Amino acid sequence: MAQLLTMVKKELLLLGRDRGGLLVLFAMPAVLVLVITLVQSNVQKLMGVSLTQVLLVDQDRGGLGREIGAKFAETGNLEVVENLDGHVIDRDQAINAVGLGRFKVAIVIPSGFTEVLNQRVGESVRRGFGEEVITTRPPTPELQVYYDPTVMGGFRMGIQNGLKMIILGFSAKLKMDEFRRILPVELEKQIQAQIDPKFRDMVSVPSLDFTWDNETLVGVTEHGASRHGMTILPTPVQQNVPAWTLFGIFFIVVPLAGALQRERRDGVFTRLLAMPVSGLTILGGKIIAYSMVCLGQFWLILLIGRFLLPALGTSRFVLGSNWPVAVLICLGAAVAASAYGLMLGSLSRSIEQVSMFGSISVVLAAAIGGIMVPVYAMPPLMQSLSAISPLNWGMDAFLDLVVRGGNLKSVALPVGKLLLFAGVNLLVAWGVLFRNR
Amino acid sequence: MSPEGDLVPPALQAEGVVKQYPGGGAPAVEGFDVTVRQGELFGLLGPNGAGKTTVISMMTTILKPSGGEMHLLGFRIGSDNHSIKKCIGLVPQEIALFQEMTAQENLWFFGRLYGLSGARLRERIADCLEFIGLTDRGNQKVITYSGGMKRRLNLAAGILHEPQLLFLDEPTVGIDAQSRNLIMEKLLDLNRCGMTMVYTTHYMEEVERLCCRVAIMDRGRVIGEGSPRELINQGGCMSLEELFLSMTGKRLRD
Repeated sequence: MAQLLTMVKKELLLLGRDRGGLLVLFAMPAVLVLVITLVQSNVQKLMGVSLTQVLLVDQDRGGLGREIGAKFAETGNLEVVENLDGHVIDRDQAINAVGLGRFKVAIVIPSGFTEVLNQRVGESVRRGFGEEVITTRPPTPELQVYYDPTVMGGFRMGIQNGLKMIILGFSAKLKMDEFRRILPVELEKQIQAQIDPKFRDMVSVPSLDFTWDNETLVGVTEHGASRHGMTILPTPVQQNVPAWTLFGIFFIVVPLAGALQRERRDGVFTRLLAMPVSGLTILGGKIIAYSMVCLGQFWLILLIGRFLLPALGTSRFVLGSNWPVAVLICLGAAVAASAYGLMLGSLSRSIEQVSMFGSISVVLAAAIGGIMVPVYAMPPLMQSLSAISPLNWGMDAFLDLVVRGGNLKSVALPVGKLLLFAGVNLLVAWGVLFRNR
Repeated sequence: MSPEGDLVPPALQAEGVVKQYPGGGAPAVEGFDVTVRQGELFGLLGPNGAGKTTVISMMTTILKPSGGEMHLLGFRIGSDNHSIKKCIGLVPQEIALFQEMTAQENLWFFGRLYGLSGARLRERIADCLEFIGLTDRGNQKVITYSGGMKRRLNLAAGILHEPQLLFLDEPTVGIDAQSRNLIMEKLLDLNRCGMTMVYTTHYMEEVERLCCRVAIMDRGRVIGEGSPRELINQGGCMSLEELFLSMTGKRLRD
């Protein structure tokens, strides 16, 4: 045990003096989680997933503008803005603001829009009662929508469909009002025309009170399909904090394999082999020391997700009460990464090989493992490939915990895979370093 | 007390030792027979590729012999490796130290792995630093040392635990005359105190100055063994270097 602690202390001492290694281990994942999360939050704005401001130029003042404002506000993701820098914005200013990228979308309701709509609605309803209507054929009213060219297709489609629904609802309301106004008159007219005058006073038309225009008969609500009552919806923060934690953990491969390679190159490993210290102690000391570093990375990125990212305008990372399971996942990934680093350090012939192959292999494993882009967004072939990436196993376990409300039992399989991966790598490293002599 | 009773076993006994590397063609070492008595300072000479480092690696249990028998201090290599490792020290050809650690930290680390601790470890670190003339520089990182200082510290790391048998693989390569002289003086001091040593080098004057017996190796075999004076006389040569060249040839070895 004394020898093992000595090995651990030596590794930590050397790591503490390796500024480049510390930058790779702590600064890189911290910067990555910050930058990527903030970038993705902005992408969410472009896609309309987070709160987006929409410019509205209401030249009509006929009620549709209020309706759009109210309906957009109900979504929780869209906010209508009519004033810019303290002044009511006009059409040209709105188009200019969108062109400059200050706003993603501007809606212009031309003057007379509601009047023309009302006219058409009246004609439509009266035609329904068989009245011969002389159509004045004013130009079809058009709602004008201007988009920032960077806005993604899904968001455009959402806005377009939303506006169509709002106009449909607004038109239906106008039709209903017109219908409510005309129906008693028409009924009265029909009754008067068809009933004997002696009985006309005995028949009355019931008063109509339609209030269904604002009545919601069927609701649609959004839920995450989580277990154990957890209600966390996937956000860039919930995805990126575990993702870049895992990336940072696996990047210990580079300094760890480099340290082993340096010991072999400098003859320190030869000296250790001639000393009364077991291979298990030599490898175990490295695994324990680097796993401690990984735990440090985990807490650092967790704190960034809890405090720094929300201060910069994103949502807060929520781990829930299952943090011991998260630590277990972190340790599983740390042992897997350490073992991979030891294998790499044992098989490589130079520090340059370690740096190049270590970095490339981790970045590739991260790319196919769903660290940079979620696995579900990949083509089928890449989705199949992702199953062989240890980072995917770690990511699967973390997402199960922080998004799907998983527990120790549900993360056991991916953590088991990580430990199996560690075992295979350790066997190879052991064989190269201690057996094949 | 040796494991074999009252008889003092040789410090090292090798009989018919063979080392064949996988896919390596001819054996690196073949039929290696050497006996080193306790208290001797034994030299192992040979051109590049003669098999000296392979032999040292087998003697220090780093490599497994492919054949033959080796005993160190009465323990059999292969079955008693852990016991052997406690009794031997190694000064490798490379500067086998952590460059980013100080001399004291390096010695602390190696001392702890040899089971030293507390006051005893502190005492040995201080003694070793004084022995190699680095007491005042003990808290400096190794990377700041000159080549000679690193070589001296490399020696200190090998003798920290006071081994019975010390293996030195070209311990004076690439250093200045002063550091080399100090290392040789210190090795003689240690030998006088009873430490057995096996020493490989390319410097013939070092062998003549230090070693009481030498074995000359070529192509994995011992081609001559005895005291430097005996060998020079037997070969009818003027110096050990002349004898060495006459035995191993003047063709370049890379």
